[in-house]
Order: sequence, then C-alpha cells, then structure tokens
Amino acid sequence: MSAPPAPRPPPALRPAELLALTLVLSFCSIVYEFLIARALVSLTGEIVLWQSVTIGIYIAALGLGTWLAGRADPSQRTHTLQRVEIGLSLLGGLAIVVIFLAHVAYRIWFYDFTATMHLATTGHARPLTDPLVLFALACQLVTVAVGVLSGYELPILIELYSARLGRDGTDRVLGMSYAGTLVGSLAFGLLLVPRLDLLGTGLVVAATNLVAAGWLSLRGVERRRRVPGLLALLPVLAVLVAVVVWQRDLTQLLLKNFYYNFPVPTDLGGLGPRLEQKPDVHRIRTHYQDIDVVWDAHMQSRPDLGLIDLTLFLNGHYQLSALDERTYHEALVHVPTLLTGKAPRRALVLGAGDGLLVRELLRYGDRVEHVVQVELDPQMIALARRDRWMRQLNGASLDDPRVEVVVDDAFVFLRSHESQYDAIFIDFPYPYDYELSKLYSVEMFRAVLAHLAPDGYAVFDYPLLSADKGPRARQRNTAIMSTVAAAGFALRFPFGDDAETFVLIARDPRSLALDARDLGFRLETLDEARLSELRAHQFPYDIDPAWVNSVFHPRLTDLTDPRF
Amino acid sequence: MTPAPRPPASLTRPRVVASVTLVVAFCSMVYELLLAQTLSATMGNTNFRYNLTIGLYLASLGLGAFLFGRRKRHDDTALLIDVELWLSLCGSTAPVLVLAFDAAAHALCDATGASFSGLPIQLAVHIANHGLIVIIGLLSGYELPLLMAIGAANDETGPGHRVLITDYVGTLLAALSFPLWLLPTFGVFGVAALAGLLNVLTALFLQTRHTEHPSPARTFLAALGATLLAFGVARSDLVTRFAVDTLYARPLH
Repeated sequence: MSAPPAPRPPPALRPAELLALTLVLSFCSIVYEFLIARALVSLTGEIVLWQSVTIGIYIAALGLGTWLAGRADPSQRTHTLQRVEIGLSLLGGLAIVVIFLAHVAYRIWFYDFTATMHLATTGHARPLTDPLVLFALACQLVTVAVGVLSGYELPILIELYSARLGRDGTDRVLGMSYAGTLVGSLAFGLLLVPRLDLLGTGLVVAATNLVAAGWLSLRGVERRRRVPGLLALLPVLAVLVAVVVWQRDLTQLLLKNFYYNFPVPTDLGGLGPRLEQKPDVHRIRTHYQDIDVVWDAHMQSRPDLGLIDLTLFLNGHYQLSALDERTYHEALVHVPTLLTGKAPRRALVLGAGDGLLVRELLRYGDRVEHVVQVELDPQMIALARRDRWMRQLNGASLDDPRVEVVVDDAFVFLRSHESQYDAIFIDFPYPYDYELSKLYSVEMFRAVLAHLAPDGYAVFDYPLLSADKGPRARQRNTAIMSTVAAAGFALRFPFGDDAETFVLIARDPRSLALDARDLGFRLETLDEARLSELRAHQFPYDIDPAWVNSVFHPRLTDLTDPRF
Repeated sequence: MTPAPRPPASLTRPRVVASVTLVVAFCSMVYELLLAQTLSATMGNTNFRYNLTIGLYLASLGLGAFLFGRRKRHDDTALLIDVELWLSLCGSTAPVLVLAFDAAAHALCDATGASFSGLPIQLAVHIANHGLIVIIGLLSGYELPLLMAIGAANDETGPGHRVLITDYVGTLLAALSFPLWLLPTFGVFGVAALAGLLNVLTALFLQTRHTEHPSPARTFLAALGATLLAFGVARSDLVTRFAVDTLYARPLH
C-alpha cells in the first residue's frame, strides 16, 4: 500500500453518518464476542470460565487492534476501515461455523467419552490439560482475530470524525460506541439468540456489518476504489448465503455429533452416513438455557412397548435418561419417607420442571394434599406438559389438580412467600459454576429452613463422594455439609451410591435408619438389594465454618482450588 | 515517577497516566461484575440481570463520556481526583447498598402491608439498584476521556491511544481475575473493598504527588477512606457475616 500525496481531500462521510456507523459497528463487534462466548459455553457447559476468558481475550485483542491502528497510514484511514469491515463481516459471520466445525473435528480425533461421563456425574471441573479446554483455548484464535479487527474501528472513526468536525470529537464517538454496545448486549440476550439461535444471529449481524461496509465503500472512499470495494463484498455475501442455506444441516451436524456416542476415532468419511441414521436432536433455546431432547441415544427405543429412550440435557449437561430416571426419582422422593416414616402432606418442589419428581409424589394418593412446583424456565414446564413422550413419562403430573405450578426463580419465590411445607424437594443442576453454586448457598438453605414445618424435612441432590474415592472426598463433602450446618440444619443425612447421592436435612437431630416399609405402592427400584447398597455407602465430612458456601463468597466452585 | 515534591507537578509522564488508567479501568470493571453478582442474588433471573447490568453500565459509560465533553472545569487532575474519590465511595459500598435497599423494601412491606412483588415496591427497588449501576457507569465514563485528554496533552505519539490500550488491558485483568481469583478469595464485599482501596490510593497518590495545591480536606478524606477500606479487605469475613445476617438472610415469617 503506497501512500498517495493526497492533493485534494478524499470524499468523506458526514459527521452524522460517522456516528451512525460507529453505533452499528460497535453493535456488531460486541455481538460477535457474545456469540463466541455463548458457543464455547454451550460446547463446554462451563459458563463463568469461558464467558470471562473470552471477554478478557477479546478486550486485549481490541487493545492490540487499537495499537496497530495507531501505526497504520493516516492517509488511508477510510480505506483501512473498509477492508477491516469486509474482514469482520466474513470472520464474524463464520465464527460460529468455524467453532462448530472445529468441535466436530475435536470429537472425531480427541474426544474421550468416558472422561466426559465421569465429569458429568461427579460435577468436577476440568483440568487445564483436558482436551476440551485445549479445544476452547484454540477457538480463542477466532476471538483474537475478531477483537483485533474491531480494535481498528474506534481510533479510525475518532480520527475521521475529529478531522471532519475540525476539533476533538473523541467523546461523541466513544459515547456512540458505548450506545452501540448497549444495544448489542440487550438485543443479544433478549431478541437475537432466542429467535435466531447462534448461527442465525451471526448471519444477521454479519449482514448488518456487510451493509455498513458497503455504505463505507459507496460514500467514504475515492471513486476508483468504489467498485473494487463493492466487488470484495460479493464473496462474503455468497458465503453468508451458503450458511443460510445450510444452517439447519449444520446445526444438526453439531448437535448429533455432540450427543451421539461414536466409536473413537471415527473416520471423517464414515461420519456423514452415521449421523444420517440418527434422529434429529430437538433443541429448545430458552431465556435461561439450552434444553436438548435426544432421541434414541442408546438405540433402545420401543415406543410400542412403552419403552422410551429419551435423554434430556441442560446446557449440554446430562439431566436425565428415561431409561433409568426411576432409580433416581424413587430414591429422591421415597427414601426420605422410608427414613422419616411419613409421606409429606404439603410438598414444595424446587427445580425439576420435567414433572417426574411430582409424579413420584402423587403416588402417595390422597396422603398428598398440595404440591407446589417452582421452576424457573417456562419452556421446561411447557415441554413437560405438552410433549407427547414427556407426558407419557411424567404421567401428566403437572396437570393434576393437587399440583400448583409456579414459574419463578426458586430463591425469589422463597423470599417472597411465607407458606410452610412438610417436605421440600430440591432438584437443581450440579454447581458447575458460580451461578449454579448460588443454589447451594447458605442463604438458599436458610430460606429453605424458614419454609419447613416444625418437623418437616428437605432433601437435595448433590455430588457427594464416598470414602473410597480418596482423600479429596472428605474435603469436597465438607463444603456442602458445612454450608447446610451453617444454615441451621442440625440433621444431615447423606445417602446414595457411586452414581447418585442425596442429602436429607431437617432442623432438629433425630436418629434415622434406612429400612424397608410398606408405602402402599410397589417401589420398582428400591428393593432390599438397593437399600443395602444405599446403606453401605458412607460419605465422610467435617463441619468447618471456613468452607461455608455463600452467594457473596462462593466456595463450591473454586476454580483455582487444587481439588479441581 | 516524579520525586520532587516542591515544584508543582502535573501528570507529566505518560507512564503515570497509563498506570492510573490501568488501575481505574480494572476497578470499574470489577464494580460492574460485583453489581451483577449481587443484583442477581437479590432480584433473581441472573441471565437477564447480567445483560441489563452490562447494558446499563455501558450506556452510562457513554453518557459519562458525553458529559465530559461539556465540562466546565478544566483543572483535569483535580477533577480526576474527585472522580476517583466518588468512584471509591460508590463502588465499594454498592454491594452493601443493594442489600440495604432490599432489606428496606422488605421492612417497608412489613410495616405497610404492601406486597413485595407489587409494582410500587418493585419500581422503587429497580430504580435504586439500577441507579447504582448508572452512577458508577457515569463516573467511569467521565474518567476515560479525562485520562485520554491528560494523556494526549503529554504524549506526542497520538491522541491518547496509549490510554485507550491501557484501559483495555485493565478491563482484561479484571475480567480474568474476578472469577478465577478475586471472588473465591475475597468474596463480594472483600473484592468491593479492594477495588475501592485501589481507587482511593490512586486519588491519594495524585493528590500528594501531582497537584499544585493539595487540599488538606481531600487528603484527609482519602486517607480515612483508605484505612477503612484496608480494614474491609482484611476482615471481609466480618462484613460478609454482618451483611448477610442483618440485611439479607432476615428471618422469614
């Protein structure tokens, strides 16, 4: 690029146009960053880590781009900006595709299914050398590229605007840039992703960016550069159109590849036919999470026999499988009854909007008078109520007249209502990150205690480790048990096996023994063999105030903790 | 650093401007993350809370930058010290204030029989809470062009590019260290005190080393603030216990 002597001023955008351009470009850039972060979150299932690492790397790359812009030829500002926008439109629009395809490649060559299942069932965070962490770090190259290009924008726009204004216009351009970022951050979560999904959002924003680049080419550069500038947009447009056409196939390729377990390594040629044979993954992207319904993951579906092989994932984390959910729900609901000797008359269910836990409660017949089911995600309730197979699984429990469904944040519900219950069942996702660890905080458990009838109990699902899992088992268990103790629960009774563990808690201590009792109906999974298995597992812990998990001081998800 | 205390020293060195920018960018981002964390605890619906906090914060940054363009005062260093002191005060107390607003609203409901989820109470709580985000955003937004102006006045290489870059680096450091180190180590109130301490120490540094007429009142206030905040960092467990027991986990009935 040789600098012409610039004998006459080049055509220039009007100040208002430059400000509008700043708004649009800032909007596009922040959305690209959110997109990359969200894609990595949905592929790894770890929210806080990849959100913060991505924003951090993005901002650092912005800094690098700003620095590089300062070294660019000042006489070529508009031309540089034009090329940056073309590059950004291509890169931003394709970022999601690149990351999704990279994940397909990762699954083919590096994926370790057993390790992933282990992590899913224990709730351990991944070590930094985990292939999935390395994959997500490699994806940050896209973040760096998008960030560097975006970093070019602001200083060039400030210079163009100030030159046009004849005085320093930094404040206005900065103000406009912040406004664009605000619009982007609100539109992303409220409008774009819920309606368009990640791929669609990427395409719409890339198209917006492309229009801005076209505007710049038409209005901002010399006549001789106009046509090449506009021509350069065409291949980008073609790529974006291709992605629009292939969008559905791409999404299913990713989802099937993510959820179906293929022999590793699968050769690339054989992957296509294998994926073709599998039923589509049904993804519901809600305001709160991605709900994925996977059909026939184990190839054991026989709907004619009432055997449904349906697996539910929330944000990529395994939630339940229709094949073995009964083992889980019977233990969670009926072991407390076996222990305490009475069925709850009034019960509160927090989480578990799938209706399966409520189904178990309703088996007590008229001994259960009222069940309040509190679930954050209305789409989860809708799935449980309307989906044919989910209704068959949960026996349409949520439509039972004894059941009251409340769509609300469990914490907010507890803090704003005063009713008391004989039993509170808590079925939240494991504390994979800070956000979820709030659900297991001393504050939450205090609120639970305040809603318990004098001899009521609460039970929750938590990944405890039994003594034979090594010296770390005691430490890990200590954090949650100390939290419960600090909330005022004197009775703490952990039970479970290697796969599923629960804690029964109550205000006052009493001695409990896990014996078979007649509940008035047949328990399918809780036979004597299973009860003795549950009795055999001991979960060691201490009570240590230094490990109390608080909303304001998270302890369960300490990412730097050597335990993880 | 300028060692001579006698001759009136201004922010003459780009390195000093850059260091100040780094610290204040770090603190501002930390305040924002703290508010998102605390607000989602009292108001629920975390995803939306984070969106709204980031959005409002960035808009206020923009508004702050606008306001700077219309400033009357031109003693930039003195202005910067004032902004630092205000930021320190508002930022470090914001998480406790969020809990106090929440407790006050509940107390008001108890006294008057109004519903906590009713519109009047919710409107008041929303305005108070989001007002905190806006105030911190305004101050931070005012700060960046102020620093750029100071930087540009003393930097031959460009109109404050270096300041902008340092600002990004400070934000990066905050975004990485908050979840990985700060939050699990110090807790919400400890981190708030730490960021406040950094702001007030910056003010103190500018006040004593880089102003022509240091104001004794400001120096005293800054020193007092630094002492209190240092205590807050060292004993954040006490603050957490006090805040949770008296303001947040009040007995339900």
